[in-house]
Amino acid sequence: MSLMSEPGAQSTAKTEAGGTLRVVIVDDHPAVRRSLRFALLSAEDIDVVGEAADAEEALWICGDLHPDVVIMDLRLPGRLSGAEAIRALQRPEGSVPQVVVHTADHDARLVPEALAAGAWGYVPKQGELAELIAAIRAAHARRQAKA
Amino acid sequence: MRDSLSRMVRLLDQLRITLATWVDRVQATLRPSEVGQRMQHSSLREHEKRQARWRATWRAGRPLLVFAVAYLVAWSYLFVAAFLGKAPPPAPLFAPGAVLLSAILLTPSRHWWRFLVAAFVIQVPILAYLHVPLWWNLLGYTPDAIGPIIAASLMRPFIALPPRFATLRDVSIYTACVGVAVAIDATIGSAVNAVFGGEAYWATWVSWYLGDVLADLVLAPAILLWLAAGFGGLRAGSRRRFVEAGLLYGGLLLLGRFVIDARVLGPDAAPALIYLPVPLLLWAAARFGPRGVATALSLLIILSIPAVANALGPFASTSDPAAAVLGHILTLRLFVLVIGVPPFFLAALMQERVAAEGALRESEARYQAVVETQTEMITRYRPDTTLTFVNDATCRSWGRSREESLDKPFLAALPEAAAARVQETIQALLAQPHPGVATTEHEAWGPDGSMRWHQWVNRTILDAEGRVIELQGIGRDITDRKRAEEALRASEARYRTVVRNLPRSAVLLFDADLRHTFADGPGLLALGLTPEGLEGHTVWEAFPGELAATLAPHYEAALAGRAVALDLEHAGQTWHVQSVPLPAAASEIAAVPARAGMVLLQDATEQRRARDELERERTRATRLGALSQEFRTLAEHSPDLIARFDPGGRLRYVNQAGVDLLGQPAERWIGRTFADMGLPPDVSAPLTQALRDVVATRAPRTFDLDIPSPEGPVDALHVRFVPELAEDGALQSVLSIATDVTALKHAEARLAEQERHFRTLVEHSPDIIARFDRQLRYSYVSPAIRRVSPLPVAEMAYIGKTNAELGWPEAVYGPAHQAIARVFQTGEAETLEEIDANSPDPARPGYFRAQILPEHADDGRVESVLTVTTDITDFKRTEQALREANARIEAAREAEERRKQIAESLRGVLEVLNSQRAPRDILQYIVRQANDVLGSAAAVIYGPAQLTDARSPQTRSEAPAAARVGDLATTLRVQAAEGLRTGGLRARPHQRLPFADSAVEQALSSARPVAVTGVDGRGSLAPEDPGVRESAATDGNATVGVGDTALVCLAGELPAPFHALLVVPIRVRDSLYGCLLLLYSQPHDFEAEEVALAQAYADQVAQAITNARLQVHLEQAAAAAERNRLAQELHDTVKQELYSAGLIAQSLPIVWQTHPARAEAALRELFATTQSAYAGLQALLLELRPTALEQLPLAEALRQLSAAMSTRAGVPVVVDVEGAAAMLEPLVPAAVKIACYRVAQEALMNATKHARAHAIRVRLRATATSGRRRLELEIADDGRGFDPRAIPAGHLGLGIMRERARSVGAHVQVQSHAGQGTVVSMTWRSGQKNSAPEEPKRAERAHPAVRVGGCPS
Repeated sequence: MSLMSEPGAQSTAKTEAGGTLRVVIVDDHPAVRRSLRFALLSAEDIDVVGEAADAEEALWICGDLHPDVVIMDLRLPGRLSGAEAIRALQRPEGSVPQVVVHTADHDARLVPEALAAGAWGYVPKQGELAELIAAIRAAHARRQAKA
Repeated sequence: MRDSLSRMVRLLDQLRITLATWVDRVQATLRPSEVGQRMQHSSLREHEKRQARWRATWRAGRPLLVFAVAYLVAWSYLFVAAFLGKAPPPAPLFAPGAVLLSAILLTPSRHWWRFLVAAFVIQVPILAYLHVPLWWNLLGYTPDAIGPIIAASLMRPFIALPPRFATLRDVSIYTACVGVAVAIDATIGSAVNAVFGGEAYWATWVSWYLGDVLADLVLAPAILLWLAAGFGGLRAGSRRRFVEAGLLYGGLLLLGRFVIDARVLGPDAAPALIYLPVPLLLWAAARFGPRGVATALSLLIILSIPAVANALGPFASTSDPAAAVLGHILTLRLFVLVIGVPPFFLAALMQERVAAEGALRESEARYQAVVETQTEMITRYRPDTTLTFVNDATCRSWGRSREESLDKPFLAALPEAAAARVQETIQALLAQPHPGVATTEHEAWGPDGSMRWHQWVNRTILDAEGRVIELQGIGRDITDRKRAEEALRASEARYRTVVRNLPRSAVLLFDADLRHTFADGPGLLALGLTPEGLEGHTVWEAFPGELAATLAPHYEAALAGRAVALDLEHAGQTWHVQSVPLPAAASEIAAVPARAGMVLLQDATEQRRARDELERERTRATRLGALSQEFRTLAEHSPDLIARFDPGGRLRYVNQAGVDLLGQPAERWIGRTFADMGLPPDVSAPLTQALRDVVATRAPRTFDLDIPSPEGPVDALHVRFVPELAEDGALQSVLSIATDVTALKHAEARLAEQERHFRTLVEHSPDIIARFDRQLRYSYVSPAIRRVSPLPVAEMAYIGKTNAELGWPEAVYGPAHQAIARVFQTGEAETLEEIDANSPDPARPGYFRAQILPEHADDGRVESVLTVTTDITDFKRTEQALREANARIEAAREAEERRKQIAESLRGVLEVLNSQRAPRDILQYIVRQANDVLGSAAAVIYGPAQLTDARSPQTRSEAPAAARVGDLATTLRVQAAEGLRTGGLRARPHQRLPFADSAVEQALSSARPVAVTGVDGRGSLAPEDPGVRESAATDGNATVGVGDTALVCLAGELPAPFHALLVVPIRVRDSLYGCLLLLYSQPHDFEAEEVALAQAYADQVAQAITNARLQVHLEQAAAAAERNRLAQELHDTVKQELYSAGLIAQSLPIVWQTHPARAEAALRELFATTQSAYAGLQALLLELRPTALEQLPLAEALRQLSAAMSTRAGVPVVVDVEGAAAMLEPLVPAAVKIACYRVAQEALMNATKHARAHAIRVRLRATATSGRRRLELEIADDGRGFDPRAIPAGHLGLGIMRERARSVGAHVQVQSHAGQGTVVSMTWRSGQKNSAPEEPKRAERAHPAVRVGGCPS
């Protein structure tokens, strides 16, 4: 299967490993989305169930797929910023996904704003893949603990 | 406005009267009727009194009402325009302050309190609305009230209130006073706000100061000037002027409207709009004076207040509106101060110039009036005698109108002989090397065709190079004098004729000194004498000693009033000498001793001989006792009456002459005595007596006798009785011989008459007429001498004396004596002009012109010199006034030229300041202009290195200590110089000028101009300048106020060839940028105007430096923005792609084992990602190196860009190059290529980031038809599109694209609709306005048109 498949098509494809950790990737850069999806294949328990290129699409997909964790870039095109999307995801109704902020932006304002909006944690884009995977797992554990 | 207000006031007044009448009627109706009846009369009077009281109150309160309305209007406008805007206050200027200041300046100080109270009352509710507490309002209002009072008090000693702004001085003093007053009130007001409102002190101070100072400098002058102009100020001088005013102010309103409504530009460009009205301001300044420019500025400010408050036009902002508004207010204030106030000064300067021209015209008119009211004739003419000017007196005298005379040679109108003489005189005058004066006297035709005599004094008028441009003639009619002279000459000639025809006689006249004043007659020649040998000589000088001794007693007897006679034997001839007194005038009393006498000489030889013969005959006859027939024969033929009487007194014989005289036959008389002859008693009595005497004494007797004659009044006889004695001594008879001397007597009488006429003529002449003999002694002087001499006018005080003998100082008469001596020598008339040494007022001396005329004797010798001295003081003073008027006209013209030059220079500097020239060039231009206009030998801008670089500002606020200032002075270098040579070498750039150190240090520490003069020079201040005020000199230096500028004066050494130095600090507010140095090669006096002008040039330098620094700031900011953009680009593209590649690389070993197929695909992804990063890096590198972008073909650059975008966004981008784009590309300027690239980049960014496009097409098309090239670029996507009208100007980079395109003369169009994609197209044509500059053609490179797919695989 191609890594360049459409996000909508991906959302219906379940992993054959039958992992329990459902992840949605939100990033405006297609190359980043494709490489993240590929890299997370290395973690058996993580299943990338969807991708979004901007915040509005992310909200729509999350409402549809109810992921456990959302990996989110903060600089996104469109009317909604990353922080606003995070705030929107924290609605009491339905299941609330944990958000891991994954951005290369060092803007001192954006990250604290995202964390204040309800993001679980922040992994910079320069970090190791293992660090990201560990963060996803920790976020998921927290979600389960809350549940 | 004042008129409409007064109309309104009148209407209100009428309404009030009507109301009062109604009230009275109602009261009367209500009042009990009986009381009403009683009180009716008195209530009517009361009513009139009340009305008068009302009117007085109304008149006093009217200005207050007008002020209240204006103040309320100002507050309301400020309130509505500024406080209710999007971004509330502060307003750019405080309009109510201007109204209050105007009211204070217009009214006497005793009424000020009314306006201050009224202003406060009006202000309370307004500020209460803004929630300002009353006590704070009162505290805050205090400085507002103090400001105008201080300003008015400061102005009052210097200019008349209210100010008229008519001169530069008015404007300068007004500006300075307002500046000081507002500084004080801002200091207090800011303190109040800081203490009670917690506002930042300095921010408030600056805002307060600028707001108030702008209102006072712009609005207040407009109000004052319009009130001063009144309703008449609205009327234009002409229809044309009205149209011009309409165009100017209409244009200003339209432009203001356009500038404020402009939405087309981005925020970076919009502020430039604020400069659009500057040309109109200059127009207003040049054509409508201070009122015009103040009105224009006020309009501009009023329009801009709401614009600032609502962030419109140049005040639009995308960022924080509140902060932007503050910035814009500052911009607007600085704009008005820097750009608006100089035209105000310019307008005052021009108005002053117009006033000076008016004064010049007035002066000319006065000169004209002076010339026209002259009774003397004044003409000006060219060397060919063509007239260029004649005054009224000339026209009257010539009997021709001005038009008939002008532009024609006046010689043609003169009699022929006179014309030749005048021509000769003018030629001689023109041939003189120096300006000269020549006097002519000639005949001219009078208005009635009669012949007149004119005297003209001609002088040459020279230009600056000494060439004769015109001649001026000042003339007067001297016909009367000429006639008198003619008459005198004729009279003298007649007299001489009479005298010369007396047979064998001579007449001598002599004066009290026994000096002959006249001598003529044929007898002189017989005596061996000449008239010249006698006239002017005394009896002692003229005759040999013995003869003189005989004659002198007779002369003296005549002077004593007695007539005496003697017979004189001389050279074998007998002369009968009669000496008679000569009274001065017939009216004089005989008892007064005569002051002159006459001697009549008659050759009596023949008579004597005949008589002797007769005697002998008679003796013989007596002896012979017979009467000789011979005697009878002789007696009968004698012309004289000869008679013989016997001792008894009876007539015995009378000859034929006697018979003729007596008119009766001889027989009738013979035998009768005188008593019997029937003669009148007064004739017979003396004769009888004389005869008796002779008989008694036997001595001869001689006497004169007047006999009434039927023909004439008197016959005069000279009678002689001679006793005839017998040989024995007995008396035989008495012989009587009577000679008719009637003709002689008549001649004497005529002579006396003529003499009286002559005297009358000369003695009534205002001119001093004197005659000098060869010894320079007075022989005559007219009574007018009393004008210059304290001596009594009696002739004897002068006659026969020289000036030295009269005791006059030689300085007084020396030149005249020399001239008289010359005239005696040369025989040529001379004219001499002298200053009256006796003038009572030495400052206004009198002047005399003496004409020294030779009097020739018949033999051509100069026998005497006549001087005619005329008082020409009035003429001289007129001439002096004329010269002074000419000098004043010349000075005014020079001043006007200089003002023009200054205005031209300042305008040139203003143009250069607004041009795109390099800062160095601008400084060089200013320094050259300063050098030219100020007339210095050299001008230098002396400042720190990188003067125009924002990185190294040297400010006084940074280095306030004297030591630091001293250090600063030594760091300054030559930044621009004109004419500077030291040691014979041209100044090097960045050279130091150590000789100027102390002056520069002084100028920097005091922030005032400093003048340095050489040690030999004096304190170089113009002491006559009223603006100069000197302060006490403590350290050898003097500080003086020149006008409004204090000037420090130092003495010091300057290198040759310089003798004076003026150092003017270059400053912008608190910052000192260096100095402007002006070096003079001559010792120099600095005048206030000159120092102020130098300061103006220094201010222009400061402005140039400020501009240059702003430019550097702008460039730095642009570079920083570009760097940020590239960094963001790097972050958004390459960094993301490299991170993606890293992720794939990290996970690949694990995934390979579990998902080999995906791992293989990931390897391809890895390659594609690195390719994309490479393309992105390449595109960025292209942008980092603009030259690479210029060198790369445009199609290639667009392809690289598209590839990078496509890979990054995953959207296919098709690049389509049409036509001969590649071939034509070398003909497209590099700037256009770069603009194309940037527009494409921005459009692709929008399409990939925001449009969610699925396909993008880039099309490049180039065509060339009939030499005109055209380049079209189009970027089209199929994304979601947008409504261009709903997108603000700064969004989606649309403004940047348009600005990019416009900078190279191209045009960008954006077409988009929601859901229908977007097309951005850019079009460029060669030869279009603002088109990018053409480059030299490069060798064409072949780039075939290709069609390329979107992404590289």
